[in-house]
Amino acid sequence: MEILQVKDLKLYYKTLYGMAKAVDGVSFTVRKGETLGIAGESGCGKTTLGLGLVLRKPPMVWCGGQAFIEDTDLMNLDEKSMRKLRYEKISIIPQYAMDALNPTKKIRQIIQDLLKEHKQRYEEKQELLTERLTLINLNKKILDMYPIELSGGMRQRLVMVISTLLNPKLLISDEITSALDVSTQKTVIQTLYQMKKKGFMDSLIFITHDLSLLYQIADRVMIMYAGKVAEIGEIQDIVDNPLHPYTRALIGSLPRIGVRYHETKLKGIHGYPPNLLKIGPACRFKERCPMAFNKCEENPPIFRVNAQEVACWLYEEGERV
Amino acid sequence: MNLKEFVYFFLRNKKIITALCILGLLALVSIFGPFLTSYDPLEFASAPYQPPNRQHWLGTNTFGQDLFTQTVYGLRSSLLVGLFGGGLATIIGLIIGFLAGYRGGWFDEILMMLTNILMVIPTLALLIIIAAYLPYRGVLIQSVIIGLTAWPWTARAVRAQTLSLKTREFVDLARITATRSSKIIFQEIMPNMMSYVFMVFILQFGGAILAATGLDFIGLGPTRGISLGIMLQQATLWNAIQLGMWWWVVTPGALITLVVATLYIMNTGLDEVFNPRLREM
Amino acid sequence: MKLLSLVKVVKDFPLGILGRERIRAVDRVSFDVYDSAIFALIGESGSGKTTIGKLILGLLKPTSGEIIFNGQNVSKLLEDPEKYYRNVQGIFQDPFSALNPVKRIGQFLERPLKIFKIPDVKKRLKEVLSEVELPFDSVEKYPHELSGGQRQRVVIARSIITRPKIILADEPTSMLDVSIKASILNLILRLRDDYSVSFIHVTHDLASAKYISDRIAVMYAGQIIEEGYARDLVDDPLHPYTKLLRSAAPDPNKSIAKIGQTGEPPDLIALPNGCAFKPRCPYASKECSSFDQMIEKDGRKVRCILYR
Repeated sequence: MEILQVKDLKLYYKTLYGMAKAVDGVSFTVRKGETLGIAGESGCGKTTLGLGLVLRKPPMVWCGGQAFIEDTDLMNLDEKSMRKLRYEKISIIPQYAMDALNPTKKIRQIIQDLLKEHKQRYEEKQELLTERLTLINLNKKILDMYPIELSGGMRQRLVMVISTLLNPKLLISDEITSALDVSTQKTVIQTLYQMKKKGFMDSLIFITHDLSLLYQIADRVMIMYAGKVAEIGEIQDIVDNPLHPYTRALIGSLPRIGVRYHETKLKGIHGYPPNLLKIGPACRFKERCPMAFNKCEENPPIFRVNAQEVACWLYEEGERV
Repeated sequence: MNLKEFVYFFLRNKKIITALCILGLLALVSIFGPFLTSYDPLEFASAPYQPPNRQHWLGTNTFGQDLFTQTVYGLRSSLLVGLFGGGLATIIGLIIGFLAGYRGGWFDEILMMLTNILMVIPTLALLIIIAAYLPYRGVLIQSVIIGLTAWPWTARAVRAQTLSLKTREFVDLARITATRSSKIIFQEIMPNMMSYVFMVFILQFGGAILAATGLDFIGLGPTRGISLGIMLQQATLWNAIQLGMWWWVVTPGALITLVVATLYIMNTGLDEVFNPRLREM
Repeated sequence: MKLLSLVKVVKDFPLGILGRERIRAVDRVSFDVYDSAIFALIGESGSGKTTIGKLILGLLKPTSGEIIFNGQNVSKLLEDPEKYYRNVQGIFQDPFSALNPVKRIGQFLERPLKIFKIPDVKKRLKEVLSEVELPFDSVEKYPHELSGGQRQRVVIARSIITRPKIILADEPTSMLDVSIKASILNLILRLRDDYSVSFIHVTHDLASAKYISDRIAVMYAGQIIEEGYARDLVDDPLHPYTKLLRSAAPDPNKSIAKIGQTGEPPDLIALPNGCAFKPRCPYASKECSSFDQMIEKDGRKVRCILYR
């Protein structure tokens, strides 16, 4: 069963030089109980996508498509109904979660305000809250502290608890590990994993620029490139048998632990991603693609190959999605 | 931010354009206004107690001095005090804050101690003492007094900016290329601080005008000549309001309010231009 | 031949205005870097690795200890900065803040040429740009017209313009996308091979350190806790912290359940006595509170009581 169904979603940024097509016709689904990893490099639209599902504000503009969470189209809601949906149906842990808490309020107050907005009583949730705080290694004493009294790591874990307090159907975590040290990254990922296992949220979208993190947490992976989906598939299939030339190059440029330059030379991808303001009709990866041929002058649709979906003309014999 | 973006947002910001128009108009009045009148600001020109009329556009005061003449000359001296006093305060604050932030160490501590001491001394009290000791006071002297007392908060703010700029990587890169300190200061750090300095100057400009008005009002203004503050002082002294001479009070009061408010609006506008997060698309 | 050596280098930073209390950011660090070698300094935030970089580049002065370049003390060499910086150069982490936004790339690259009085400016510009694989017309561009990877190439071009003997690269790839990262690492390797320049590669990433480095030193809370050849250190880590880093590195064949709790990073203001890693260490014992020395064993160095 699908929790989230996104169809041909377009989210652009209004800039001085025209529309930047950050998310340009993206379709995917998130099933109940699964973790979908979204990976891609800076400017591929992954953060815009995550944020756009929860909160759209200028200069970000919605330019078409739908995103259904259960039967509600998120793109078709006014701010008031959206506010009700947030935390209850869909929730986000932003990239700079440690700075997301109001510094002038005590943590208890922040939580009380949130519950009040969703017409819930703090007293009823108190037990649950204490239980969840213990799970992430926080003492309930912190409820009487101000956010500034906690370390960055503690604040981030606290935001994880707050954003899942109302058991949302879908939690979006946006690059939450990228500012952390390697040794603490793992703890955070593990906590997310446990939170999902314990049913704090049904499904999880894990956005990262670091494909290798997804090995450990994702069930399925969506690779994005320059505002479009390049490939979607099970994590094992993507790692073992990447189809899209971009996915292949991306995996080929990851330094795997234990490799030295004279044993395996990392490849990297020559060239740079296209300017999102000046996108032509061709495939967006064409300029950097080692396999490019004349068909690539036209933007490829998505083809289904076995269980994978891939946007590349090399797989034209596959079924069009 | 590159020049194109700056110009675009600058010209498209309603606050800035409005403020610029008002300030431009006031500047024109203060420059060319005196040519429109045949009187001297202190000359006993005509019959006293006249409300605004054809002859005297803004009326006359108790002594029969022409208030339009006084207003345009007064505006001129007020704007000059703002320019010189605010300018001086900005320059002193800039130099001290910059040196403290860039050099650091004990040098920074001494300069900041000085700054903090000056900051806690009530400025007005200091101004009164200095001004009272000077037998002759002109607009320029008044500007200097104000400039010498208004710089501390600028110094603190500039120091903070410098501290953050000097740890930027392009400064480190310049240092490991054996670039001379003067070049680093003027070619690497300064250009990145211009927008900030400009906004500080505008705030100091308004602050100096208000400080000067305060001094004028308690009788420590220029000993010769006229200013908007002196007009207000005299109006109070000669019971203008009780005598129903509203025209004596309203114009200078409104002008001072207008100048300071305009500068404030200008600053908010500039803030929006320089800080993309405040920008309205 | 030894090119650069650190001998028991200490760097303290004062805390608060009076400076009575101090934080020890770098604690008795010693290592040697040889000719045309790549030496990696690995650590997480607060480990002191960036401070060491700044000490080597003369941007900070050590509290005690000596840094020796080519047999001479660096504090002495810095009396003639032109001469020192001709041989010792740096690349920094953030290619976005490394270029002054108001200057063209050409202006940025020309300044060192002028300062070091290198003749034939245009020819040399052409050379270094082709060495870092950028087209010559880049000199006309402003930083905002370039991508992150291109900017980092410009910064690298600047660092090699004087043909230095050693380049300190402080997290040169951590702000770049993976697809660009690999090509920058390969560029560093090529520069080392072509011009036999040494690199000190400061990083938090064990995988990229092993990929290009000959030797690796791991830092924790200001100290080097393990040093050795890249292969030995990564394939068979000795110190429990190195083991933790190794196990935290991503691996497609390892599921999430296998990683244990990793604890909180150290607080430099209140370090424990003895071994700084003790609070996070699964093998910690009472004796760790009084143990704090480097042990040399089979040509490897490790600061841990387990190998006494």
